[in-house]
Amino acid sequence: MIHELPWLPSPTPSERDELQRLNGREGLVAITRLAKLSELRWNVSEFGSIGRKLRKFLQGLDPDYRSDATKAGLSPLSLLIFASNTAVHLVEPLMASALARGILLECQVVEYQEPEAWLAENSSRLAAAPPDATLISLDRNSLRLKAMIGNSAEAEACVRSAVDRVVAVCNKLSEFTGSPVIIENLPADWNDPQGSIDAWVPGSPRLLATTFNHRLAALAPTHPHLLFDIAGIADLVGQPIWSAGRYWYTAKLPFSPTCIPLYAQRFVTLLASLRGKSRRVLVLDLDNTLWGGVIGDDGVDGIVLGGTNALGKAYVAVQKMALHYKERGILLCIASKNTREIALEAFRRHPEMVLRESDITLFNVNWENKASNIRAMSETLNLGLEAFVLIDDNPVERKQVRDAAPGVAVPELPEDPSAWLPVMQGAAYFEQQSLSEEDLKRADYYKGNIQRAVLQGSAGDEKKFLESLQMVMTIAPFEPIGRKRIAQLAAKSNQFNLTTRRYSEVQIAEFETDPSVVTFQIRLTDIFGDNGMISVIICRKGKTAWDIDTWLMSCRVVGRGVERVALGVLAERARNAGVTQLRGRYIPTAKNGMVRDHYAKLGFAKVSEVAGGESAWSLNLDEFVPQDVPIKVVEDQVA
Amino acid sequence: MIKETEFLKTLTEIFRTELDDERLHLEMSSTQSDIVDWDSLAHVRIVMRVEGAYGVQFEVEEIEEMDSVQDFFDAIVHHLG
Repeated sequence: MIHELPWLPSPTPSERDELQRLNGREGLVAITRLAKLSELRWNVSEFGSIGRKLRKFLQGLDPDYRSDATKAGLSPLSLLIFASNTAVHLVEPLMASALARGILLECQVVEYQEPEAWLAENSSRLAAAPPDATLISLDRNSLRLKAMIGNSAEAEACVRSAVDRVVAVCNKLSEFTGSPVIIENLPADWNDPQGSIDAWVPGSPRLLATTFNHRLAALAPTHPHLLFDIAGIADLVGQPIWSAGRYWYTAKLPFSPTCIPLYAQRFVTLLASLRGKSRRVLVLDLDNTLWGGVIGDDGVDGIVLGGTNALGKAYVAVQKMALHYKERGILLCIASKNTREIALEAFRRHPEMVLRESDITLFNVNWENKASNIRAMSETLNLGLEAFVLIDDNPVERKQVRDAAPGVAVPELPEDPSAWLPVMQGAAYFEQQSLSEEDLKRADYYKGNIQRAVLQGSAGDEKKFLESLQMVMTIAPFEPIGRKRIAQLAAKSNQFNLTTRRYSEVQIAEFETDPSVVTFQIRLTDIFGDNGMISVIICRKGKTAWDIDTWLMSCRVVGRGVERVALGVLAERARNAGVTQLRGRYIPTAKNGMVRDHYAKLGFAKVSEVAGGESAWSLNLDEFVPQDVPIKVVEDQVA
Repeated sequence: MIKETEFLKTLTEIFRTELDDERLHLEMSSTQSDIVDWDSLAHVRIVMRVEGAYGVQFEVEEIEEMDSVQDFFDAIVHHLG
């Protein structure tokens, strides 16, 4: 059953044993072991006990554990949960689920209160110690979703008022915390009559809830708040399983505890997307995964795909699912033990193939093992293993990848391919905060990049290669249209990120009108196409020195000289303002080692460095001479 | 027929995991007021574990009235005969 997380591998007896015996004496090592175990299929009781163990282990660590944890690849995140009903029981399972994604979750829970009153009392406390994210869970009662049956004016008014209220609460929270707000929508409730009439008669409680949900969804593309679609989760598992039933009456639980693991996994996937940990690549096997049969043996005409064949139609559905993900910015890659030309034939010739060669970013079709292929993809695409999901019909291959390429999500799948889709929909691996132009064209960018790499390989001379790209860089200050993409980069960039400051959309908006900062959103085009927005710089103006608060860049464009050009423009602006120094900082994380020498390479002098690796740098503008880089610069002085 | 000793053993294991206390000592007469961490949310978790262990489903009224280990035992016996 979906709420039992069938895509996760079940714990073996020795793993169960290990969990029981794990104690916190080895500090972070124990937590790392616990993190590995938390990736398995446990029930709510077991997830809870993992969360409790984590709590205990954390208590045993140095009070200063946050910076050590960060270096161990764990990302601390403080979450405020504001709920109409009981929520405290979610904390431990949430902590366990979060640990599986490398997030060290700390929760503060506020239950049973009216949001406006609580916010009024606690605004200064919130502003002084803001959580990294807030989850809001309001029910029909708190939202006063009630109207006379048959009265459409009243029905419309109460939905509108509920939506306005939720938006106002979200805005207030954003204002006080400056961090992302996640709002739950309303799952179906078996207290509501559910005949056909109840789907359309104005004032029907069922219709009020679905209308509320539609309005909330309609706001999502333009509002900074994130939607947590628990209505969808409840729909997937079914009301009898989702409903708290007796537990609502005994303990005001909002939904059945048996669904907590699924709720937690879905919520953590959202949190992960806020932390730059979204999954972005779908790797597909070929034989018996995208078609029935083995193409090397059966030939392109002998594989089972489409037509009137039931199994063939099931494989078409699997391909359509993959294509859908590609269309919203997920990269598709193939990893298969086959002869390349034979496998490609299916993509080129088979009339029922939904996926075409142009849909696929990388074809790792060879006789190497899958884990090495995925590792190679990770290198080529410059994405960590945690960005990958593998679909493979063969349990042996699946295990090989789980063991040899940890971090890759490898769902367990039933034997029958026609039963794969509900498992994939249950897992919902690919969440994202927003959909940008870049997302829609991402596959093309990456393909372009690979073409560029091929060109570089054949060009030999670095300078000639860069010139041949005919790059044009556009630098503009932050403004509303670029806001979502800027926030997305701030949330996702891990490697080329000097200070890893995760600004929310609200904070990015504030920078737009702040006269004390200089902001750069940098776009890059070349002969292969438009790379979109690839770098963000935020610089704080001082009287004699400007401090670079944020400098991040997409890894796609490393090695092209973009940062040198950006520095040249920034230096000129600073000089024109009468400033003599530019200062920068490097704050090390587990992932940004590549920019440790960024400022050194740009000609800055190191001013200081502390134990732990954080360094401060300074550039004397009187002595600075910008380097010549074959990139044309267009400066957009948008108001 | 379930024996009280077996039942106590099973419940002790359940209470120890759910209340996170490896040294918890349970008697048939232990009540919610005796055990500090046995609050309403722990009660829900314990009820779920007991239901799972014996393959039964308690009614709302039973859950509300279960205040001691003996109450749990009586309810299980009532369900399983």
